[in-house]
Amino acid sequence: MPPLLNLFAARTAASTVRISAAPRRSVLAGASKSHSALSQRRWNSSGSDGKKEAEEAQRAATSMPHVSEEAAEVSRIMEKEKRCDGVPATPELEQGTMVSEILSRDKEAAKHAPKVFQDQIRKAQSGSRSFSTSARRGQLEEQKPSGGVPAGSKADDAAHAAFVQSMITQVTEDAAAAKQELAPGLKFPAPETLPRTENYRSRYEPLLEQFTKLIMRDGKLGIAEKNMYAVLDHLRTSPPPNINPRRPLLTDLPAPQLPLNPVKYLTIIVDSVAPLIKNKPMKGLVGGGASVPVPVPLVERQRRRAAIKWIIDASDKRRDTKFAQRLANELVAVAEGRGGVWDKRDLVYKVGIQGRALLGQKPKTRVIRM
Amino acid sequence: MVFILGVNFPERNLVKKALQSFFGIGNDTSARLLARYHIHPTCKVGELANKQVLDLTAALSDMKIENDLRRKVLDDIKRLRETGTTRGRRHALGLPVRGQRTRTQIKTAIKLNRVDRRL
Amino acid sequence: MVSPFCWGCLTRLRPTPRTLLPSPSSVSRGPAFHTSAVFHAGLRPGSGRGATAVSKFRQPSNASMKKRKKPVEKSRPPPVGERKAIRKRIVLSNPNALEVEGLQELSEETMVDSRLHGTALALPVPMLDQLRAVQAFKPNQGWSIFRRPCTILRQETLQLGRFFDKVSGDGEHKGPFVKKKIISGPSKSGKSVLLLQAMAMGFIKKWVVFTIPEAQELVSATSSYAPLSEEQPHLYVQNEATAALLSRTVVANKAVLSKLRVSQDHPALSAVTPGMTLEGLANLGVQDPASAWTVFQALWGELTATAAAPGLEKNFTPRPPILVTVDGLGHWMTESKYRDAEFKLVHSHDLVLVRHFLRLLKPGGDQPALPNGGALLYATSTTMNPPSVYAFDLILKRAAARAAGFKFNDPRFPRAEAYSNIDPRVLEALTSQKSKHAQEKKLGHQVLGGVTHDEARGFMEYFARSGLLQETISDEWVSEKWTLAGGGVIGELERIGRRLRVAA
Repeated sequence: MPPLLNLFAARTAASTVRISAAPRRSVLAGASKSHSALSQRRWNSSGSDGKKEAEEAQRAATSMPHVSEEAAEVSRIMEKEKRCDGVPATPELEQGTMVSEILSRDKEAAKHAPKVFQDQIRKAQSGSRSFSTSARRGQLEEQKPSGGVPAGSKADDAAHAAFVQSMITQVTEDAAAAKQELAPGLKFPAPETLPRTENYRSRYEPLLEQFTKLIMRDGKLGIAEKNMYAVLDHLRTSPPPNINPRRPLLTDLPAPQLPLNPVKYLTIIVDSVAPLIKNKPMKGLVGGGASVPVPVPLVERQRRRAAIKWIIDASDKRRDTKFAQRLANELVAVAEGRGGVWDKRDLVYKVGIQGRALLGQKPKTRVIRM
Repeated sequence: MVFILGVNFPERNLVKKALQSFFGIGNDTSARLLARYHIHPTCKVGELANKQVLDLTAALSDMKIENDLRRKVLDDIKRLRETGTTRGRRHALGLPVRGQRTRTQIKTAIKLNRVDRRL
Repeated sequence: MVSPFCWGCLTRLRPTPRTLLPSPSSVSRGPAFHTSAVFHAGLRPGSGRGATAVSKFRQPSNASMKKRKKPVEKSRPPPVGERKAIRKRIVLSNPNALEVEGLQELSEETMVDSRLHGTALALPVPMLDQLRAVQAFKPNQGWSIFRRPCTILRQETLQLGRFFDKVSGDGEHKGPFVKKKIISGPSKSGKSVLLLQAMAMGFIKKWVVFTIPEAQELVSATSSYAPLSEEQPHLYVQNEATAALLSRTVVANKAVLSKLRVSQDHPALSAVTPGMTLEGLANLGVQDPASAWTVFQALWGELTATAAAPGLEKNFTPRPPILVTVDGLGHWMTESKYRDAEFKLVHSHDLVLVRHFLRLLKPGGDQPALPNGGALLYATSTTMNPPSVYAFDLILKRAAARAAGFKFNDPRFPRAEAYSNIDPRVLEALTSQKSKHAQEKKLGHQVLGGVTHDEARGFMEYFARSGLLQETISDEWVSEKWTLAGGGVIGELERIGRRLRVAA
């Protein structure tokens, strides 16, 4: 007899996996639980006044919710669903987004809302989220301005900075100690770790390599590299971007510093427009055989690929003579918040939000019982 | 616009290509013509001095090109046909003239070889 | 035996959709026992779709699907000259790069200061227009990533600077010395930049600077040519190229030429008036390319004059030294692309402009090449795919051997191979003879190699201080990059400086 497929068991299994993944993420985001809130604060270069934070909070309230926020909500629903012993919970009942959305739009209504709601809103506006919204890479985050005193210059910030400072000094002392104690017969200490660039297979930044291979046509890597260098030179020499505050780049570097390191500049541009999800058309979720787009999360490399593809497509519509020139101009346009690439990402998010209700559902297939 | 042998050429055209537009002048002949009057190969029609234009026109009018050359070719074919040579007969039959095989690959001969050949 | 299927399941199976079954009309159009008529009916010509399926006799049938026509792109090509302008564009400043603190400019003092050896010196801003006019900057050099153009003061530059100082300085060694030198070296070793530094020094010392920025352009048959005269039909003059040379010289040396006045008789030029400045004289050739060669000869005669013609003494002032630089000498050592009237290739040495500059290089003439002193710096080039000329290579080898101390009789002195088809004109033009003039040395040969470690360090520090290189510059790091750059080849060092960006 053919084995019976237990749909319910499969679904709970999937949700367990998702739940177990959620806390691990928060561990990754910060060094420990106490640090996590700290490290997620945006690092400002300009002394961090409260105005900017308020502005950001307002933007967070008005604009579309972040997709990872959605994912967290979804996982919460799934958790609840498991506790309710398999009774599938409809998002309209469980998520409670409708009222909060209305309240965020309508200030008058918010004033007269019940106290519970008001508390909730106030909590949401405090600026620190309990989950990571960061799409940037860990490496970029490490290279914060080493001025030391970050945004808030509050007590815990200072403590954190002191902690990091002590860690660094200890490591350097260790290294110095190790340097002095050379094995007999050795003139120089052994290199600690060979830099990644020394390996000829990985001599370029991962993003640079990915970008170069995506602009390659007919397998001509040499031409693609030439174009890539032309683009980087253009980024290096063009005036620093006027960043649109509605579409900020995911960086804490001030704009005039960006052209000095074109590779980082390129990475920031691509990561800033990279979508977190893609919408996969799924059949059989709703009746009638129609396919519905359902958001699927992307890993970093996939996200970047989508963004690079969009940028290259958009550059084809430009009228400059050379491909490298078109591409470089489009990249600067993206950095300044212009161009169709941002609209494309917004569209993806919009469609993804519409399709999120169907997350986690399996397509309905006919099960034939023997 | 510059007139060479009664034909008007735009100024941005290469002299070499302008000469090659005449029937009977190819790559080699045009290169030799340019060398004879000390015109460099990348010269544009607009850069020619008046004397050079006149020299070129004079040289071209002495050469057998265009309709003179076409008439000569047709006369040659007709002469071959009238004297009853094999070459003349092959022309009339629309078959290859110079001993090629006829089992395959004679499309060009079918298309071109005839007594009143189109040129 | 019991069937594994239960009857209930089978009865609940839905009937097959009708669309999947063959339609009754297509099957039972004819009688069931005879199908050939039905089959042929479809093939009969004129009966609907079947007609197209029949292939004609011996016509090749194309099995593949008809290709869809690609949409024709209606983009217009860029306007005439735009692409060339992009290709030749020279950008000398990058406003994003940081201003280097404490950067010194190239000047009379700094160009001979050996304490500054290995540091970057900026080119003075007013001189940039002059250097642009003589086309000293090349598009493939990395000027565009720095705040302002700078060059490294390397050992060879210091030597040049001392020579310039000696010729036009005030010391007791002052005299009309002449330096004749062929500069060669591997690709990207800084030959053109050395010429640029020489030009900059020439402008600082108020010399007259003549340059041929691309020697190939004179022999590649891309500009007009004509026989020199009826008497010398085998010599060819290039009027446009000469006019271009004059115009470069006038724009770059305006300050010097406008102070000098005509002091010789020029019967060939009727437009020359006695009190005319040399700038005005040169401009005659710029305005009328047909007389450019005569004007160039007159200008050269004026600049190499040591005394005035009788009757014109009041216009005479001592002439400044002359610097002549040629980039890409190898192209001049073979036949040019020009043709004579018999369709034979014209040898490069039969072009009067080339012949003039090569004759200057040959020592041992009756007249000193530059009676007022100066320098002739002729560099080879590897960028423009120079022709390989055996005679020229041999000359360079011999010069190197002579510099190493081998005599001509020494068996180790390089000889021409027995059956090599050697060009006697090249040998004759560059063979060094004993100079008849005390202040003229033999034809020198300088092989430009890599820079030293100290110079490489100065270069990389300049990168770092411009904000382009974000690394800690240590001796180990520099010597590693020095090795990677083929032993300090400066062009390769520049590539490393602008490309190493990966955080380890």
